[in-house]
Amino acid sequence: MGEFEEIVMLTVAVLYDEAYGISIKNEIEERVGRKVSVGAMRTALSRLEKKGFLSSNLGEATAVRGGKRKRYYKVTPYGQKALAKTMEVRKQLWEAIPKVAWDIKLQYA
Amino acid sequence: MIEDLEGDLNELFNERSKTNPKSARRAYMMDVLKLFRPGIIRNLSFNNQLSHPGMIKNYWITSLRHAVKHKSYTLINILGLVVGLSSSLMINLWVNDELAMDRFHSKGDRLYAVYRNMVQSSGEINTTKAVPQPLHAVLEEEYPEVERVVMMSWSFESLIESGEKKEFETGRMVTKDFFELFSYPIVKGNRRTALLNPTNILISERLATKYFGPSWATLDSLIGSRITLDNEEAFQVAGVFETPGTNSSWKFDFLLPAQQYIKDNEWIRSWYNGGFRMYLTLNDPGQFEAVSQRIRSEVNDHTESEADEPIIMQKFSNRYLFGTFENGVPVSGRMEYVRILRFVSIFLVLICSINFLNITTARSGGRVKETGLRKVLGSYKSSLRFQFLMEAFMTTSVSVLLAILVVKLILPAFINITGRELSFNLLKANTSIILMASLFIISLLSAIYPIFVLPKLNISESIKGQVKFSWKTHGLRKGLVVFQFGISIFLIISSMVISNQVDYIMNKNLGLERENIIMIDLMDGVRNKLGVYRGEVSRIPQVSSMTTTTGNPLSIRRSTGGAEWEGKEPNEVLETYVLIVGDDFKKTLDIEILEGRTFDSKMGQDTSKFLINETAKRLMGLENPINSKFSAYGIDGHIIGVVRDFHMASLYDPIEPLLIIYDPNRTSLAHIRIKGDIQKALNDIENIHDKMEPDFPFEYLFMDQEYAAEYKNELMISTLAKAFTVISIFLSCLGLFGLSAFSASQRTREIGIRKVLGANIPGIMFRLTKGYLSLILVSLIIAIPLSYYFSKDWLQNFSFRTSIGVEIFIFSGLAAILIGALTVSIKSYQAANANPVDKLRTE
Repeated sequence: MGEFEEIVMLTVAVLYDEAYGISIKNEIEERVGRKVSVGAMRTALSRLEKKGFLSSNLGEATAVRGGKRKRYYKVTPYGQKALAKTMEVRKQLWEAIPKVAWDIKLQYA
Repeated sequence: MIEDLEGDLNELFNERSKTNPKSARRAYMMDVLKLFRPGIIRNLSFNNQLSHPGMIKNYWITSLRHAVKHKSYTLINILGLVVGLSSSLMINLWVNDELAMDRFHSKGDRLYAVYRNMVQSSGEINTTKAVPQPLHAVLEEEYPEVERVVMMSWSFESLIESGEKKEFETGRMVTKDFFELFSYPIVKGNRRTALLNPTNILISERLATKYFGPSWATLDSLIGSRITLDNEEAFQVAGVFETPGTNSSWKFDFLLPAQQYIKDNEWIRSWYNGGFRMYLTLNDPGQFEAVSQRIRSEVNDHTESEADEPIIMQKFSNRYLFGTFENGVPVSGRMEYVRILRFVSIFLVLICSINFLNITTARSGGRVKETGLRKVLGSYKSSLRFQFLMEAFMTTSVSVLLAILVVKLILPAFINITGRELSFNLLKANTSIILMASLFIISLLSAIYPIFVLPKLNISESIKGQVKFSWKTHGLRKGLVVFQFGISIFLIISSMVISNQVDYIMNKNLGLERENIIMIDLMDGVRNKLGVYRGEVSRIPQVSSMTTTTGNPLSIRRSTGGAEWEGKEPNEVLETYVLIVGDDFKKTLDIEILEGRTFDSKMGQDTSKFLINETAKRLMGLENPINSKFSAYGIDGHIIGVVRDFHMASLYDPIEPLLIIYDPNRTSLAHIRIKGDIQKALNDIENIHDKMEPDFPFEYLFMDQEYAAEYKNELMISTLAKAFTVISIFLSCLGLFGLSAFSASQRTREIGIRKVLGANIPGIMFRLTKGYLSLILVSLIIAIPLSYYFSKDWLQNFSFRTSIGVEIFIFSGLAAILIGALTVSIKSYQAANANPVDKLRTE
């Protein structure tokens, strides 16, 4: 799982019931502070869905969207496991870092 | 599918248009454009649909499986193709190099060489490059069609001195327009004016580096630097040209303006002599016919003698490949070898393609069920054809890639044999085009049988495996085996004839003894005190004798048309070669005297005596030549003896008439016969040389090596012919091996039953082998007369040649049969030796 994919999945989890294209995009832009294009968004979402980390269903049509329905995304249990595993790996790595590593000051930087 | 995406975009647009409607449109457009990416527009992988690429993937897998399953056949195919293709690639490198020789001159399409034919009374015509110098002016003044004329001297060695360095280098004299005609690039100096000043010299980059250091190009003082030639004449450097490369048949390291030499030497300005060579450009190549008509009689028109000496012209670019003249007309020369090797290269590719074709055809029987099933599943005939084509294509492309690799690896050795700086560059010339073309042709040809026959078979029969192949394919395969072996036998015989002829040349008794003789060019320091030199050299214990001459007796270049003898017809002309010799001439070179005596230094007056050779005696019609009056070269005297004919030129030519004059003062080349320790003798001679000639370095040549060097083409062809013969035999056997392995495997059950019924192993082996042996016999019958005809034709070029003995045919026939039988019997023995129980149980 790439970094962007991880962020997307976590955002989908955060938004819970309200996770569809634009809301995910806005949430990422707000929280992470990076620009996301609709295309990149879409590719990541469909790739994750293909991997089985996300599932999706179509919601109700609304007027703002010119009568087009939204596609809502949900993290699957498999995706949840994958996220947990990624976090576990990172936690282990963090714990494995010796304390001194942060104490060394670069003299000739 | 895209409904939600559209919705997303609309929502985004509405949101943005609240703040800035204009940029919202732009952003909408950008977003849509950014959506055109793989993964959104269309799925990239092909497996989810029954498209053509999908089938290719399937063919690819099937081909790989087949290749892996039948490893030995795959190996035979690829090995054969790699060996055949790489050999033929290398031959093509050499052929292209030969064809490119001397073709870099920008005016090459209207550049011509001028020659002089000398018609003898006997009707024989000798062609010489040496053309009378006054013709130069005539062409420039009276021929408007002629653009420019250049005269060039023979190649000579001079002692070049500049600064500390002092060495012998090779160069030529040329007239002022040399660089107008010939496109040798000039690196420094002015190509128009460099040859105008008689004390100018132009040197090659090689010499510039040697005498002025590697950074000569940045040296401002280089132009105008002094160079001393032969310790006396001073020249100044007026230019540097690129060292002539392997695409130039002329090699020279310096060029001198010829004007001064022409001014100083009266003999060269005469219509009766030829010295320099002549080249010219025409304004328009279409005028060639007219000019050669008119130029023909120029020498005859300007001379009073009876001699008929027509002038002829040859296109300059043909000069290298068609350098052999017969009856005054260029016939062939190196082109002969280009043709031979081109044929060999085509033959090799043919042989390995035939192997491929035969094995593919034989094995296509095993694919019947597969094609049947594919058809049941709805395959078109065309896609079946495509499948077989692709399979062949895969094998061939792998082989081509490997062949390229092999060429890269073997090239250094090949360069060694050919002595040429060949480079293998896929981008250069037509290499890649030829490779691609052969790739397609070989693939198409080899798969031709499965392509046309398999898809047409009846589906139900082919699935049941009931298809029987017609006799036609057997006939075809047999025919091809005969063809292959025919080519191989042809090559065996031809290469044996070539190598016999080369052996003959190398071991031929030339009429004089060339072993253990060193030759030394003598400079004035020695020449003025020849007696002292001779005395000192003779005192060296390892020197058995010494003589001096005007030039190597094995390649005499000096001739005269002015010999007068008793009983000569007034109009008779005989161009006679001339050799001037010093003391001990007969003893040192071991020449046989047939009549009379040789020169005797003690008698003192032998400078007005002549020796002639047998041919001269015959052509002059002298019954009793001894003491008959004779004059030539400004000497009136008489003949004192007749020597046995020795070879004084190439073995391609018959022996010419020769007269030998005794005049030690005019000789300039020492021949010293050594016995015992050559190195010791050389050291002693060098010491004498350094004492008498301190200004010139000591240099020497071995007479036998000089002779061998004359035939280095023949030696090279002989080596190459042998190598490629071995390769072609190998390829043919590889194919035979594949076929015999196949037929043995086809007949396992038959063999099993035969063994059960009591057949013995030799009997079975004979049964399996005899079919192929009869094929080899047939190819022998076809190849022997053909190779006899062509070898005989090649040998006709030599005036002195070996005969084609019966033993060559017997040997090559036996070799072919033996090799063929061995190859076939490997597999036959395995098949015959197998336990019939194992074979029959498979039923």
